[in-house]
Amino acid sequence: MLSRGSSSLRAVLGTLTALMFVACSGGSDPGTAPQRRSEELIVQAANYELLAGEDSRFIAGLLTPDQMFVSYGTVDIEFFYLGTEEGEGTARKGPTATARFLAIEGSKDPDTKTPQATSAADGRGVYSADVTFDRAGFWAAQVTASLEDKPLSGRAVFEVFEDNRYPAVGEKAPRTDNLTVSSEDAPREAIDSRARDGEPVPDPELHRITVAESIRRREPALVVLATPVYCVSRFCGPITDMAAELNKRYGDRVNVIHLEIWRNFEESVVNKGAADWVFRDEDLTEPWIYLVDRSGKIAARWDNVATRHEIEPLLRRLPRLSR
Amino acid sequence: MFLAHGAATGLNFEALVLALPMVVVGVILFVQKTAKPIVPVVLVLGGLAAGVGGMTIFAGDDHEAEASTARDEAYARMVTGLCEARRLAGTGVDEANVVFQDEVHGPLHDLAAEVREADRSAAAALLVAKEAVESDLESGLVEGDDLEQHLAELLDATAPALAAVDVEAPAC
Repeated sequence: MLSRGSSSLRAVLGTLTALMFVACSGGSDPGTAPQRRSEELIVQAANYELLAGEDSRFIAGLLTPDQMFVSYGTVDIEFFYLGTEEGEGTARKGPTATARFLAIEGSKDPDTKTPQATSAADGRGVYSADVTFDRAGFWAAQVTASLEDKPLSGRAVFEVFEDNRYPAVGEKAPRTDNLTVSSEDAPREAIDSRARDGEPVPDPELHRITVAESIRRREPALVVLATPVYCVSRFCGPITDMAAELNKRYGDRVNVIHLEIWRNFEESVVNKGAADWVFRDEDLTEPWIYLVDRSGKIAARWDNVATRHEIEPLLRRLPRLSR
Repeated sequence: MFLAHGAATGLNFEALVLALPMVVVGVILFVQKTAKPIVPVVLVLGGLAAGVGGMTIFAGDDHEAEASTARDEAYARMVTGLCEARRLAGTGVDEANVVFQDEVHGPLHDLAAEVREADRSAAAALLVAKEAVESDLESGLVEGDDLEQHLAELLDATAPALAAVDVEAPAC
């Protein structure tokens, strides 16, 4: 016959054992991010600044678990608001969007409706969706892509800000006196980082005029803030080459102006002209492209990734300049 | 001692594998009453402690160790890819481009971002060498010899960059 003490001891052990298996089972809390499973997408939110209450271009790069790029076609995104403190709060459903693929300049973009896992050689780019985030704080983007009829999903958490740190649409553009080919006291590589070791400044037509002069003349400007040599982002592309092409096509309608980021990369010295636009709170982000209208206000801006597909329609609408 | 060892090395799966048999054996002994009561109690409590520790305390250390290993492996593959691209450049620029884009481009950007914080000179040399190769490939007009030379220079710049972040570069 069991003693009362033995029965109690069995009950305690039984309870503890049950508790351990419950702990191992890993229930999910609707407010926390799910653990990444091997079939999930890797989602990299790619914006530098998203603002609450404004029409925004949300961009994200997608990778498969084995590090292939997800490219082409469209993907679906559900956005969730997480709150004002990162890592806390319950997810609240927000807008949904269909994001289309934007190929980085020079990458392939075949006309296909379905995403594919590709090598970097075959296609690099991001997915872009037009979204309005109604409040500042932390948001999650739950992305679903159908690859070879198999749905993969993943999420990324990102922040939406109440106030802009960088020049924003509708604001007056900084009247920057940037370096030009006429700036004799500046090292050539401060004008374009490719102009090292005695090499001439490539694309000198992008360094003819300052932003301030363009505004003074009441001419629109496409301001390209980029460092061709010292870019470290995985989404780096030949953005200054694209700027040169746009200048060839639309130079009679807009002043295309390239601002090199670094005066001296090794000594961490940022060109003052670039710093006016991209250096805030000891933080530097690039590349950026800004379209400044004839009145000197910012008409549009693109952060991190910018494509002709997005920029050209705006440039085509500009009237030819009477020079 | 077991917990201290686990805290030092970041045990995770191993802790759980040990925890489960301890609990099972303890329960069996307890039900069969073939040992003194203290024995199954110690086994079960010890197994529970190891199991909880394996899932919580040590889980973070294990993930950090995994991330560091994955990064080192990515850099090693990157160097291997650079060696292969250099080898291919002499005979086929297109083939070299595919290898460069697939194996080298992404991790090279990651390395540049990491080195930038540790050693600006090494980062600058790496980025200058990288730009030369990318410019060759984007232009589509490069001769194989020029590309091979630029890839060799990029390899030379990669070694000190990896050293700056405490990663040993494999040889070609």
